[in-house]
Amino acid sequence: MARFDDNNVPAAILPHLEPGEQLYHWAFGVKQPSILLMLPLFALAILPGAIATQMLTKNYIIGLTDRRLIVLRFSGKLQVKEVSEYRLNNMPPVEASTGPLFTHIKVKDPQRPFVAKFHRMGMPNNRMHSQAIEAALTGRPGGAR
Amino acid sequence: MTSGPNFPPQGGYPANTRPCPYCRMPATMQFCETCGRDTTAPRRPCPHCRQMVPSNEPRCWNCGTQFRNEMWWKIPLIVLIFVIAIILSLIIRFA
Repeated sequence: MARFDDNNVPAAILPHLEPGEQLYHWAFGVKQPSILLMLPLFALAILPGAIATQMLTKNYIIGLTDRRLIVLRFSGKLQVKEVSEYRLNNMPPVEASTGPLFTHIKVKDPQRPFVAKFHRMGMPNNRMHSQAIEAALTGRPGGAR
Repeated sequence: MTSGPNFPPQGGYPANTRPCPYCRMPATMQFCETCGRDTTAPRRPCPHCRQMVPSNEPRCWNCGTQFRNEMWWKIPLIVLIFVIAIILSLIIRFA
């Protein structure tokens, strides 16, 4: 049974929507600690290194609406820790790319930068949603809507 | 590829009007006219009263709960795990 799906993820975003705001797409992603930190931790001891990497990894749910990109940082079972938002009518530059496994999305806001990668198996339809968000934010054609 | 979004806000709601996430009063600008806070800034829910609090404020404006950095328990636990692993490896090696 999947940890996240198309029922509980939108349900976690809904309390943060404004009146009349439409949620289009959502995706689950992570931001791992720097490779410069992970390599020494794994070199020191593999299992504790893996545990430390997991503990330092940040989990995100992002939601694309008709007005905003909403970023929820959470822990455990969708317990929201922090909420960030980027207005689509005042959106900072976005850099995004899709590889065989991950969709990378980077919001280059000097005050509140955001970067995360979205695995295609992160949750059901994660690939479709993350590519649709990538297409909407970059203006690049393609991706489901 | 780098660029900005190219579609305007929709949904029949004025682009620059929003409910303040803290006091819930309508805000027409980035800063709420009622409570004066930045309505677009990162925020976190208070673990005690569940009210939204700007991430840069150290205390909940509603109940006064002090926020703590999550690293206060993670870093000591990671160090402890490594110390235990190293001690175990030494015991196994010299036993």
